[in-house]
Amino acid sequence: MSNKKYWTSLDELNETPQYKEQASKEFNYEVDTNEGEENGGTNRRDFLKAMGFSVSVAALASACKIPTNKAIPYTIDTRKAVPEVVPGVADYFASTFCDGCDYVSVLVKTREGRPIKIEGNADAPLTLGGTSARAQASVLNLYDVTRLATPTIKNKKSDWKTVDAEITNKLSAITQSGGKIALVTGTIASPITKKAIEKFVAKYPSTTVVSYDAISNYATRKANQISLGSAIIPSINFDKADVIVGFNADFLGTGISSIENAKKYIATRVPSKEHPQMSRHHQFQSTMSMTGASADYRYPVNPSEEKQALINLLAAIGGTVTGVKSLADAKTNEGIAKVAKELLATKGKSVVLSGTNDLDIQLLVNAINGILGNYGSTIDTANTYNLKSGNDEALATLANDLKSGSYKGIILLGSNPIYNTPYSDIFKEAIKKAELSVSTADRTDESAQFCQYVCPNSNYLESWDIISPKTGCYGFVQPTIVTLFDTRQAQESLMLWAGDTTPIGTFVQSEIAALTGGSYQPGVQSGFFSNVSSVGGPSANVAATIAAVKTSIVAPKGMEVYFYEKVSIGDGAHANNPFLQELPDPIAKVTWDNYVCIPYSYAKEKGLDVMPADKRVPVAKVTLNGKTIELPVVVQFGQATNTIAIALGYGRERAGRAGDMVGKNVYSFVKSNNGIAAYTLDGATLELTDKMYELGLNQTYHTLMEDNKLPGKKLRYRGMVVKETTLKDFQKNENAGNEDREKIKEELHSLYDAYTPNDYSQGHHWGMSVDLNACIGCGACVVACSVENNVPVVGRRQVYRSQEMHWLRIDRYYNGNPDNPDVSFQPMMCQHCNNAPCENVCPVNATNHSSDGLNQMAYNRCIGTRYCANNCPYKVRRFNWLDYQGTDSFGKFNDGKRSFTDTEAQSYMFEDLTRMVLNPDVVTRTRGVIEKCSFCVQRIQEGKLNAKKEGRTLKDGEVRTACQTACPTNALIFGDQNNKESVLAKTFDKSGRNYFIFEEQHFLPAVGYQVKVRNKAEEPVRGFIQNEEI
Amino acid sequence: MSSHFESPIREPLILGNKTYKDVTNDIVKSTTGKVQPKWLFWTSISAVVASFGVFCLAWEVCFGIGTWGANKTVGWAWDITNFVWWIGIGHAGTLISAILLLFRQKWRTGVNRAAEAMTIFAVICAGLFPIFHMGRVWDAFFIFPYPNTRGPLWVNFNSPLLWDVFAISTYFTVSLLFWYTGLVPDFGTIRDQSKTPGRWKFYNFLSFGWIGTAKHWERWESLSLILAGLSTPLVLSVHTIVSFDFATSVVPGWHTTIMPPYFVAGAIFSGFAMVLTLMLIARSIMGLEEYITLAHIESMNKIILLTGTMVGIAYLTEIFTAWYSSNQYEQYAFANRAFGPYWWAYWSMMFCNLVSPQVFWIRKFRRNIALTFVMSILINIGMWFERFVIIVISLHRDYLPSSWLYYSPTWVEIGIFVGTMGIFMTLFLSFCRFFPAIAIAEVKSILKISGDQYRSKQLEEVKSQEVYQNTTTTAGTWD
Repeated sequence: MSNKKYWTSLDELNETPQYKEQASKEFNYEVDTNEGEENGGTNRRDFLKAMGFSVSVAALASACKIPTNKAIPYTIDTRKAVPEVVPGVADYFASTFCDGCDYVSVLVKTREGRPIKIEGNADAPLTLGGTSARAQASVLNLYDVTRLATPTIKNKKSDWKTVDAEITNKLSAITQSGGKIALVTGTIASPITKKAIEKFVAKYPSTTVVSYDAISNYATRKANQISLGSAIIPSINFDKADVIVGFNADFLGTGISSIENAKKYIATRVPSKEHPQMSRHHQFQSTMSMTGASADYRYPVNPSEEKQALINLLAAIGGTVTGVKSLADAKTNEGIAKVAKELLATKGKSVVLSGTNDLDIQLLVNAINGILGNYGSTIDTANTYNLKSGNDEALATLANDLKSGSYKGIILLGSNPIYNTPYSDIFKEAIKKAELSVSTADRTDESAQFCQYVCPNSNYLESWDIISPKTGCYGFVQPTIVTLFDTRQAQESLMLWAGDTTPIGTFVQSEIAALTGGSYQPGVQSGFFSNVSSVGGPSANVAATIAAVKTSIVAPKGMEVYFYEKVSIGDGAHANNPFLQELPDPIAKVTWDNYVCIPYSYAKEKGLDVMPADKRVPVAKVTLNGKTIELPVVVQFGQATNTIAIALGYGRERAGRAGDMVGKNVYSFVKSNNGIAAYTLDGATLELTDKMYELGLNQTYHTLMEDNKLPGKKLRYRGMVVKETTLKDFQKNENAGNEDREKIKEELHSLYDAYTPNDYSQGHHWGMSVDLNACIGCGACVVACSVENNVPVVGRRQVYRSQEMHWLRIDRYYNGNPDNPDVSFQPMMCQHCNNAPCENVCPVNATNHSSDGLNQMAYNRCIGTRYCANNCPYKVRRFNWLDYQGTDSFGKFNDGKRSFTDTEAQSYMFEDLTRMVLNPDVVTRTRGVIEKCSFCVQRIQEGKLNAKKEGRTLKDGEVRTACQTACPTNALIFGDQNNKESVLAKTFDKSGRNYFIFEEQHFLPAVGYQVKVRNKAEEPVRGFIQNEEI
Repeated sequence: MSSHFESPIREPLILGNKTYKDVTNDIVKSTTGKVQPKWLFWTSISAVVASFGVFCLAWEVCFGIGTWGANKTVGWAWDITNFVWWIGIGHAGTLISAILLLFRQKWRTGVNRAAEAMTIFAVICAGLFPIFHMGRVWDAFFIFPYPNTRGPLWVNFNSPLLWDVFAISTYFTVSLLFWYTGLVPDFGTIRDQSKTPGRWKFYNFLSFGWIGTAKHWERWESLSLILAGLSTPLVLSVHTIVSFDFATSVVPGWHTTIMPPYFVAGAIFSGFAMVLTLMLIARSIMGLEEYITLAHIESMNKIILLTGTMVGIAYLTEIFTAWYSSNQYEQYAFANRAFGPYWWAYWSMMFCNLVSPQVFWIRKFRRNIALTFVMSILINIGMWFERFVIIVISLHRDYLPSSWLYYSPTWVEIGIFVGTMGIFMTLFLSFCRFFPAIAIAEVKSILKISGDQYRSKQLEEVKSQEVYQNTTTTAGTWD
């Protein structure tokens, strides 16, 4: 296109101030609404008003239903809330996402009154703008069609008046007759919920409140009760630690407040020229976790060996402890010695932590930290978590009491014990027998289905609340939309039943006002309140701690089982969120399933294909405690030799269309170890069956080295994809691991002398930098990208058929010994190549380059030859194989109503309600067109327009892509390569770590990657190397 | 037959001492005689298979390309494999009719008509794939540079797919014209044999009122030569341009300069194999053994041996180039072909295309009909695998190992491919039934009847006189 510009007036040509002012207004003319009035007659508008009034009055008078207007749903009641909603302009509301473990301060983006996107709240303490995949996906939970629209009585629709009357009657009757009421909740991090419960208990004093976590950290609290005298979970200051030692601690992925911790952790994990330092991270683990993947050194230990390893470590750092015994694996023993040495060298600047819910293990961790003097520096016992505050012992006691039938009333406050506790049958019986059973679940879940009353709770985006994740930290929750259905906040229900009729909004507002002092509004607007008084806190009493440890270790029988949690699905509460189901596990890369992770050694012994190219894996029969389940088998590199691992949170039966019957439920295997839930078991047998399972696997090839079977070993390794080096080398040479780049740049030339690549030196030239050191693989960016860009979810069957649609994916590669490999994560999206191979092959010019360096797609023009996708070296182009969003001009062939074709899409965007989540700034794509990462062009456009309206140039950091804002570790930086002051340009021009993938191929990508630096002594290994080859 | 032994200078091209009348009768008979049950049977089966193919196409259009096994990494699979395969098959027809015409190869006359028909039908089948592999087939017209009101929006002349559009549409048009031109005098012949007015009018229309004047023949011959001249470069250009789809890309295994000659040789190779397959079937079903002789078969087998070996050398050259290039991606692409997950496809290709045609060094095998038939099928399979190897094996593992995938087809893809065979056979069998399957006029031009036949006619007359005399004698005795 030409850059010719025609001026329409001399003012424009001369850019007079009057002209500028006029041009900046979008509608620079006055609309005369009073035409006709001057003549004394009725004007057109008045006539219409009168007509409208009389028609509606007539309709009301004749008791007809007022016809529903199906145009833009202005669901916000503008009289009360925000009168300044402008169509087309997004409003952001500060809020807080919390599911009992994950805590994120968020900004909710709403368009025309609809929440459509979750952004991190960068001003908020703790999470500092980072988000998790679950927080990103949570906006879809609001539009879940499975949610109950009204309260129900015995699974029949009812209304609040009836339900409230019946429940209060029964509660009073039970209290009067001296019967007991059980109030079963999850973690209560909300002071509002606490107060509501207090009010309820005051009214019905025979109430027992039991709060439990489906996946519990109770042992940590109990151990701290012994070591510190209070049952707390302390804050960990990873940013102050030089050495981090994790024992099955997935603190970056599924641990407590993982976003906060990821922010702190990454602060010392990214070396630069100015500051070439990194903390060192050791991880002892039973299966490869996301956190373990980021560690410098990993040591596979079976669950039963973890305690022994800690005892040995405690002894090695000078603790007086009995029961020291070498582990079977020599490398692990060496590792313990090495770790001990490092810990002793960094006393007070290290941290040892374990995620295992075992009292002895937590006590040992406390003792080690106590000896090392980490309390007060890296471990902050003054600022403790309110998250994961469940009590395993209370749950076990309750289960015992329920068996005896002593509870006449059971209220499930957002908990689902029939699904996520091992006491499933006990709860089922008790709920069936109880005089009163109430659930506040938002759907008829596994537990609610047996309850007499279901009083659906509102979604957090419709609610008022305060969340206090930690001492002195408060996140505020405000409604971003009026309740979509006839739902009510559970706290309000409790208060109502306790006789307090204060509306929840008023109550929360007054609480916020009381907390922050003054009006509630500033607090709600910022979304948080922080009142941290002291840091440090008491240290563990080492002697008492060690004394409490039972050092005896029972040798395990048979295979050991390790139950873990996935970063996407967690404990299973969000199982009906298809975004989360389709987010591949960061390590196993499997979507839509849980499975038996088996160690590489076992697979080799059984002769299994460790990288099945066709995604068909055998099904195994796992026998545990006499119970058998069948699950597909996935080889997990880096898993301890005698251990199998199975994820919790799957096998929902009443979650909804997306979540039902996905995987198998293994909560029933969680056993009680002196009242503490144990997520490890022994005595399992694994038996491979002849059945094969088609796995929704996202990546089938796991290493950068090509087949061992092929000749030419020297040339097999594709080190140019993920470049890595060691910290030692990096300190010597900032180009370490990237030395070949100079030569590539020198030799880069075209065969065609006359050919000059397109020139993007004028205006903007967008680019992105991806720091491989910062990426922890959590997948928040993947979900954020999908939500922002209306990327369809396709379902397990389609993922199995490799027809998934993610614009942004995180490639995961292994290197080294398959029994204990090094892991690299590599976010991969369209590289916006200046010499894009996709562009010249499109026969219809549907994909081309914009003047600011974007590789762009004209969906309307695309006829779907897929030639561009074939020619893309990064394989980031995605084809709309089926109609995923009901946009097909041929009618809805893929609406999920035809079950006779196994190739149909599992469409999750066909219901009108669900479609409300779609971003109106991004077009939905029809079947048969190619799509791909656009660098969030709608955001670029918005930024450019804003700058233009304000008559200034775009500032660096003003436009941020969805993946960038979602990332908890700032691994992704978007910016203008031509703005030499931008962070991106500086990274590209000055960082010795910067490289481009396949740079020697002259695609000229606009996405740079930063060499991965590992803080270890050994040089990076190239490819998978078998034991015998080392 | 003859009183003394005569050694033939060259094997006659048409056997059975045909007269012009015989030729006319033999060939027109198949269009006028009663419908043979054998023909009806095979045509019905072909039509059913073709209908299934159409059903599968409809299925794909209704539900989407997602009903195929193609995926995020392997964007093209059976669709383009089949496209290239069919296009390649078509090449023999053009080669036989155009290049062999220019080289005055008289033996081609027996087979050229059917070979040209095969070209047309193969191109029809081939054309289905690039059309229906589009995600939005209803917008297929976007690929034509037609005037529009969309401002600067225009087709992309840099894209080899666009070149394909021009190459194939040109090829189809020229082939159709050439084929039809050849048919004109023969339609005239059929018209003259017609016994009903409707039939007469029909064939008269088809023959453009051909009356066989010298002027007609002169124009007809010049047109044939011009079209042959036009077709000749097409033999080379069409598959060259098809190969550009791959050669101009950046995919390791595609991005090679050997592609054009390699594709052309492969196309002729597969085309001749298909011509043989069809000829051997037609020969037996239609009883045309005297027109399609062993000499034809042997000549074609020689070409198969030549082109097969050329293709084989191309395979080996590719491997050498990959090694010599020091390009790691290229080297891997070829190692992966031979030893990767699709090793079976690669070795099937190697066996069928390079190894098996070598039996044709031996004359006995060249003239063995059963063996030739088996070989023609093997080569067709091998050439299909060649395209599969190039397309699927190159794509399934290219640059980023994270995206490496396996591909397997679904019933829809298989159904469409089998369906095109049905379409092809239906068209071909219908052609055999309604059109002169052998070029009557051209065959007549190579009939060496003047001397030989006159003599044998005389001999026969002598013989019949003797018989007559004998019978009269006998009769006389009876009297």
